[in-house]
Amino acid sequence: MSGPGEVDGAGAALGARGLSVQLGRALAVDAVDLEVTRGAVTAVVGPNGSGKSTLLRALGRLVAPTAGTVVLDGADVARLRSKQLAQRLGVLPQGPVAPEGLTVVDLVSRGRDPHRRWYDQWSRADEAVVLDVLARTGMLDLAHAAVDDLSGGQRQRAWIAMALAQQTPVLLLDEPTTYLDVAHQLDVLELVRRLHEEAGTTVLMVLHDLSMAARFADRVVALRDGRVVAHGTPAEVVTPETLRAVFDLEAHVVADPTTGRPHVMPVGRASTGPDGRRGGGAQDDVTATGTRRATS
Amino acid sequence: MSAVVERRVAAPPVPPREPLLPAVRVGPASLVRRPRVLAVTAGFLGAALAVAVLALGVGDYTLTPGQVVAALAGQGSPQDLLVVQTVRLPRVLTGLAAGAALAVAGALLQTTARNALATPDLLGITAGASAGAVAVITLGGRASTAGPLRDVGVPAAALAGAALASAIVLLIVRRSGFAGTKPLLVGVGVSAFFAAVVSWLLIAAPLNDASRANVWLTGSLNQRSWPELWPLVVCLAAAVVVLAPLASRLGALQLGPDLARATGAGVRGTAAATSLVAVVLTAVAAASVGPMGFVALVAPHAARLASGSSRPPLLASACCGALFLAASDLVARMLLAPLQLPAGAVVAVVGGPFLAWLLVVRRRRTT
Repeated sequence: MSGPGEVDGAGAALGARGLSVQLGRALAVDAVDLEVTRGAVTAVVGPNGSGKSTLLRALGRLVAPTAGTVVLDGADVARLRSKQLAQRLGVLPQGPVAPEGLTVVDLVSRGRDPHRRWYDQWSRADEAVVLDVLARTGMLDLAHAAVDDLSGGQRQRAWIAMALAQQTPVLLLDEPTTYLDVAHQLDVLELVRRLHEEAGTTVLMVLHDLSMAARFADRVVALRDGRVVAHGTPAEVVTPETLRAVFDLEAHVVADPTTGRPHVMPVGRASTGPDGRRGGGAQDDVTATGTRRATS
Repeated sequence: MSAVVERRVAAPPVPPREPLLPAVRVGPASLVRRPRVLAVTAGFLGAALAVAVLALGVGDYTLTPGQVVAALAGQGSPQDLLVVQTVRLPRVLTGLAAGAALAVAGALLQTTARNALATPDLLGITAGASAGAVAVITLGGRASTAGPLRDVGVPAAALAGAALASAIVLLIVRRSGFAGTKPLLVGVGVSAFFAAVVSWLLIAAPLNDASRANVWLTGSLNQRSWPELWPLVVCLAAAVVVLAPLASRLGALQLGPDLARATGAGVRGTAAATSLVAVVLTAVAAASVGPMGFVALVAPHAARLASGSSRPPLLASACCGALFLAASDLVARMLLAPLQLPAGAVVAVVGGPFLAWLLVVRRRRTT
């Protein structure tokens, strides 16, 4: 398990090698090679049906790849035991739903599952870690509230707290800001950023909003039709040219006056050029089965 | 990696406070203390034992609860001992054990399928068990009223039928998964199929055998004795052994397959093991006392609502199921005494309205 990645702390924490995932008849992820930079926040962007969620789910072993491998710290993820993987890699799928009546603390304590034995259900360490993540996500006062009574933003914080309780060096978040208004989106992404800065966690998240991605991520990966079209810093990726190639979008990109990061101001739909591949019906099907609620 | 972990445990100082969750810790073992679940479990258990003592005293030969307790301890007249220990005890214990088994089966399936309606009845497991048992009763004729055919043949056939029914359901839903409404729809279809098999067996059978099978189908504890009890006891004991290490994973399954996987629970293995336990418990309970419709639906619901949990607590469900079936049998024996109603009739008559009442009360509280 001590691969080259573990020795070289600056290298890739998580990587995909020739990763393909077939959903139904369509190839949702098409031979993707990707290195997720250790200790960075990486955002995955792309149009609906571009395979963002499927890529994230494959990296987190929630779907089995049709071809290729996912490598975590030099180890093939497919060979790890479920618990081992969950100790090293946390995944928060899109739009999770808590069972009726489940309290925040009971939900967050599920994040301790990979660390505990069946006869050791609530050790002092579990208590300390859950207390810590509740405090850091600002959920301490709501610890005994039922998750389904919370507002959308609070609920998302509870789920993130659960993923944090796993204490994994790598964390994958699938659209952590879905269904949230702008203020709560900022709130959640600032939380992710702060947690990353405190603990040095490698974060990979799927985001819909390009400006948010540019603002909160160190690296941006742009996908289209299951392939990586661009990968680099926000300034390298969030450009009018890339937006045209990835989203068929004509847009101005200006520097955000507060952060200096690229900010996208859409102009309109770009006419499909000679090499402009429009996402067809097949891709929409992929979205429907792969991410369940991508379009709503 | 460990350096990172340690740094995180040393959290920003939090002022001393009540623990988040009270715990019981003994050596390397620890458990969250849930006073309400414990109280509810104890309440159901106490009530079940009280009903059992009452049931041991009621009948043609009446004993006071005091005499019953004395007889259980081996004291009293030879006749007291005979009535309590030999005649009534196996029947009462069978009721308790079958109720517990059905309730646990229901609790497991509801949690695994993440659907409050996922019970052995609706998933077709009970119908499969019925078809198996009725086949042995009708085709075996006289031979199935006693001896190995009754003691081993009926339970084995019920188990085979239950296994067949659940295999059909699993085979059909294996791609779309165990959650949601699809397993229930398939289960209803499978139930209808096995109900047709039962009807055909009843029509084709000689009248005697058919009427015996019919009594069995209503669900009854009449004349239950040790041979009906032992398979139940063995399977309940086995279930405890299998479930002890799995119980904590049920909470992960409840979050759905993605999150269960994300938190390191072996989803397929856990779901397979809990379903297997549920099928076996249902089949053995059905073989002993007949298909007791509502127990697997009502008992876990009652236990969950009473204890304020998000999923049915297993032990509380078991005690509630034991209480429910034992009490139903007691009522069935007393209502038109000396005529003995089948307990299954009482279970259905009491269970339906009780469930409706629970849901109405619950709705009022939440809205």
